[in-house]
Amino acid sequence: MLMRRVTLLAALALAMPVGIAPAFAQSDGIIPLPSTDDALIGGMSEGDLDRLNEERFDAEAHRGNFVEPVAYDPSVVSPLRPVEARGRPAGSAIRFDGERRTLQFALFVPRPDQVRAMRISTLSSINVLPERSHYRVFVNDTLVGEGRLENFTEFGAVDFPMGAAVVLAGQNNVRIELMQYHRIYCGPDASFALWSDIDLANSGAVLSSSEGISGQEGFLMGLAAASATGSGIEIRGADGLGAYQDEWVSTITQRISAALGGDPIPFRFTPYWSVQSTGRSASRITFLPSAVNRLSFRAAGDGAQVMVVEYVPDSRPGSLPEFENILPRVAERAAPTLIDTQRPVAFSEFGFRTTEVYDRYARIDARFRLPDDYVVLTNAKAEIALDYIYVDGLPEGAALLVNVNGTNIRLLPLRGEGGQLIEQFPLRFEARYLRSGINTVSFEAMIPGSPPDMPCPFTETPFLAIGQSSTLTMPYSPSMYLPDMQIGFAGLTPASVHVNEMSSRSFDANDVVTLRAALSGGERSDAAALNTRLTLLSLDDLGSVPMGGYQLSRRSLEAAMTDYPSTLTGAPAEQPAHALLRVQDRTDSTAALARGWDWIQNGFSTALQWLQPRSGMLLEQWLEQQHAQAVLIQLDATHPNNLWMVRAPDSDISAIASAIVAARTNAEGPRGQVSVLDQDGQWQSWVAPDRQPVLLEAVTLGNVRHVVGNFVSAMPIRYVAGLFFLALISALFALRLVIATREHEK
Amino acid sequence: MNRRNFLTLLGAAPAFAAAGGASAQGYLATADLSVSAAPVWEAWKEAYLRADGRVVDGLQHNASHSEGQGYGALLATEFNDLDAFARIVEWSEMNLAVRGDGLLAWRYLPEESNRVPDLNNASDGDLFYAWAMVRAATRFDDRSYLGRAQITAAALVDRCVVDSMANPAEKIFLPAAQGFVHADRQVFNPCYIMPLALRELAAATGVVELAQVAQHAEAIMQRVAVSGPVPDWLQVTASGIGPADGFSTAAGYEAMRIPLYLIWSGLKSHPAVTQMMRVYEQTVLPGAPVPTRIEPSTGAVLEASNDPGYRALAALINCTGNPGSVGSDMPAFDPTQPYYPATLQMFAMIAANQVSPECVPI
Repeated sequence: MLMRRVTLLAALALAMPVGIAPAFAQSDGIIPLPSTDDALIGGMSEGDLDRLNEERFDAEAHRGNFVEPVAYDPSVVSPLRPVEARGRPAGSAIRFDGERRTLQFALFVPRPDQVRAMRISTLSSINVLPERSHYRVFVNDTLVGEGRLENFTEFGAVDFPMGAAVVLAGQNNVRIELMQYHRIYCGPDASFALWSDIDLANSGAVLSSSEGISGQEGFLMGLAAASATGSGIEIRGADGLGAYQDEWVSTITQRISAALGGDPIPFRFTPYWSVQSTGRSASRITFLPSAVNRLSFRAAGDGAQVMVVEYVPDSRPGSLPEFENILPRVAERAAPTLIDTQRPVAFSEFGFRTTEVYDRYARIDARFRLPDDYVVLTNAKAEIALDYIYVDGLPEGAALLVNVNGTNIRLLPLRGEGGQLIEQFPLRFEARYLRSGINTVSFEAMIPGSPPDMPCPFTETPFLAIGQSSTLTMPYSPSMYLPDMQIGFAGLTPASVHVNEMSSRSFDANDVVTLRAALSGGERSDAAALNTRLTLLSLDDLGSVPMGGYQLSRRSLEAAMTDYPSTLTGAPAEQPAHALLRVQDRTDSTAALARGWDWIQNGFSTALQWLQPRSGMLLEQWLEQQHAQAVLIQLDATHPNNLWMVRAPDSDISAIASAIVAARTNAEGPRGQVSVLDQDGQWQSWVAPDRQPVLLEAVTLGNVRHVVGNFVSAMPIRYVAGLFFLALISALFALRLVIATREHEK
Repeated sequence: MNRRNFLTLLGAAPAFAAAGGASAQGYLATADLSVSAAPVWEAWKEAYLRADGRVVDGLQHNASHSEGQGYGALLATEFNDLDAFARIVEWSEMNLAVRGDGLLAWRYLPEESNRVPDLNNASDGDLFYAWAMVRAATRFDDRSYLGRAQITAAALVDRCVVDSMANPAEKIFLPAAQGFVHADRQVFNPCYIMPLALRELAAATGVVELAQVAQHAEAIMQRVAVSGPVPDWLQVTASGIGPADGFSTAAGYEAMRIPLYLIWSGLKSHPAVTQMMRVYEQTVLPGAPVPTRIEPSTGAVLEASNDPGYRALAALINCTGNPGSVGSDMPAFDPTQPYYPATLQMFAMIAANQVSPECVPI
């Protein structure tokens, strides 16, 4: 038997693959076969063998990262979830600026008996005076703690003991009131320099353990954590859904997003077998094939809260329970209220509540919506009848600035009538500052410090209050329409998002799902009827966008979305270094002719641009100045419901989605023909100077003056030129008539 | 041994064996991991495999072991990566195949002047190395790899398989060629026994003793597991089998592979699996460290770790051991964990995919 094996080994050695040959080449191709084990170990003693084996056992003793039992803290944090969309990327801290701010959060607690404390983690500007700056935390309107703002270099957390009695199983309402003082100065500038951040990922209810946490409350807690940490929601196993993947994923993600409200959470697809990304998943949707369609909630081994979606292979989503029965509606994404025109509308009618101002600088926004066919371009006046009151003895310079959609309309000095309620104070302003869709009336209070070079004194008395009984009266507008992307934007729904074969160069599947989910809830039903189409565009596909006669090049879009040096602005051409060369250049007659021709050309194009601005490069020059995360385009006035979006190469889709959600609910959104989401999360819009209103109703005696007024106001130069031409023709005609009547007959 | 007996050994269908390959529920099928888990393999290679083909155990002073080389070679076949396989084999042959009998020296220490100070082998490293050769022959359609497998298989039987002192009819698979057979006892490590590997190697090379070893080891572990999880080391004396004196008696970093290998071999209901499942069911919590060393008699946790690989093992055992369960708690692969749990996580993935495809991570 042994002989047979040795023979076999020798034969097999010859059959070794070439790749293995070097190993055996150590002995010049001859495999040494020691006859006994002693030959291998070199006559080693049993003691030596034991020593060597000891080393082997040592190596086996610890083969992982051992965790000391005392070092393990089983507690977990159920993070706070801001109820309003902020237009910021998922995972960022939430900022309180100014002297006093109050923010509302949702808090999900699966099991109140596990609640140990409320943890708040803060980081403040160095300007904040810690001795007097503080915050108070309320859970379901019960005060659970008050902390000082004293962390200036890194986030610091405080745990406020909190019992089960304060907390409800499921959703809870948390309110944080924050007051901060400048450590050196007092006044609007000092107020402006104050901020404190709350680290959402490490602020919330501290639960003693994750044991037993699952179910829908656990899943909601996971969603809040996914949002707070920026890890987003994983969608696992969606590949198996086959042809119905989009339908299934859309159904689930959009229902979650609509129920959750607030800032959208990014989604990302992962396979069953995947590599851990930078941040651990806090929540996940996992698709598993099954005999029935059903949902269940589980806690995964990595701590993630998982919604397991069992589906019948090769079938459409159906028989799934309505999410309203599974996930509570945490926050709404409702658009501002539509108001009437031609009558005084109380601020309270569009949701404004009497507001007291305690800050040296404060901005109070009142948002409302005008009808989509509301166009006033004339000098017709709108009026705010303001109810307000301010305390007596405010320092000199105290003022209330009123502006409409960013245009200042009145500065009200806060002196002389302190302590008296000023009712229905008239503020007339140009109605053309207001436009169809969402509008904002802002009140900026500025109260100088007294003295300005000392910290502000503590006060519990508001400086100023603005009453909800104030009214706004808008003048009549004929039913007209100005080409603008706001209507299409207001009507965006998940079904609006379209991709083509080139979209994937800029938007991957995760981005598309995240955008679609973000667009669920918050659309206006009337605008949604427009069937808006938002095409996600790759820059390579810019040619497919209808330009409507405008100029929009890839180069200018790239300039807006990158920090490349300007190539379009009129940067002066470099002159030859040597003065003699410049003289030579100047005296070159050919060059002089060329320069003259250029001058004439430039003059002509400038004049043309003055008469007909669309033919110029205004849009491209404007884009050149932007720093965009994303650009929305709607240049084709004949199809106002078709929007296109391009994004910057390294942009964060959650920031873009969040800005879209915020713009539809509580902030200024895209307007005009091209709108840029800048690096600060604000929409900057370019409105074509030559856009013409479109009349949507018949001309009558009642509206003709307004209609003509709007048309003329839209492009006065055309009508001036027309009238001038008419006058010229008339003059020529009159001249001809005079000449004709005075000619002597021969 | 006649052909009939041999086939019986290869089939080895004890009462606790369960059919593998297809899900009990039938909705998820075994996938080609070289496609569906390609990023995971790339992450493993990036973290633990050097360009020269050396698999590095960072936690052990960047040492390499025949075990790691064998594991790496087997993974390379699973993920259809001929380049990685060839590099691993070439390095192993150059640096560890220094004994001359076809077995590999068990350890390579890159920072020592004598990088292979101990010429003794580790039989599990050799077993996986040879198994990888067998699978490579099919995967890469190159039967020449079988030659190397044949050498190792024969050497293993020749040097690492002995008759049990307690029952001469039973074979014992020694951990190494030297140092574990004493006058009064034989010491062995049950986690060095991978039944599926032994059977496939036996079938491919005709070295039937390896299939016998698998069958006997399963029976031995069945007897030992009656009183709790199988410990890291066992000894055989004339009076029977029990925990090895002077060795780890805990079910620790070694023994945790036993249920993994049994499940991978299709033996989901083996008592060694169910015993470990009971422990995990009582001790593993989401997000909390996973037990890595357990006192077998009491089930007390001696050590725990957050490394995802250990959680993956527990999740595999809990899912496959519970008939009817769909979806497991296996975490995503984390290449920042040490080599050993990372590699066990790879194996847990392969085992789940082959034996219980319904145990995909939720």
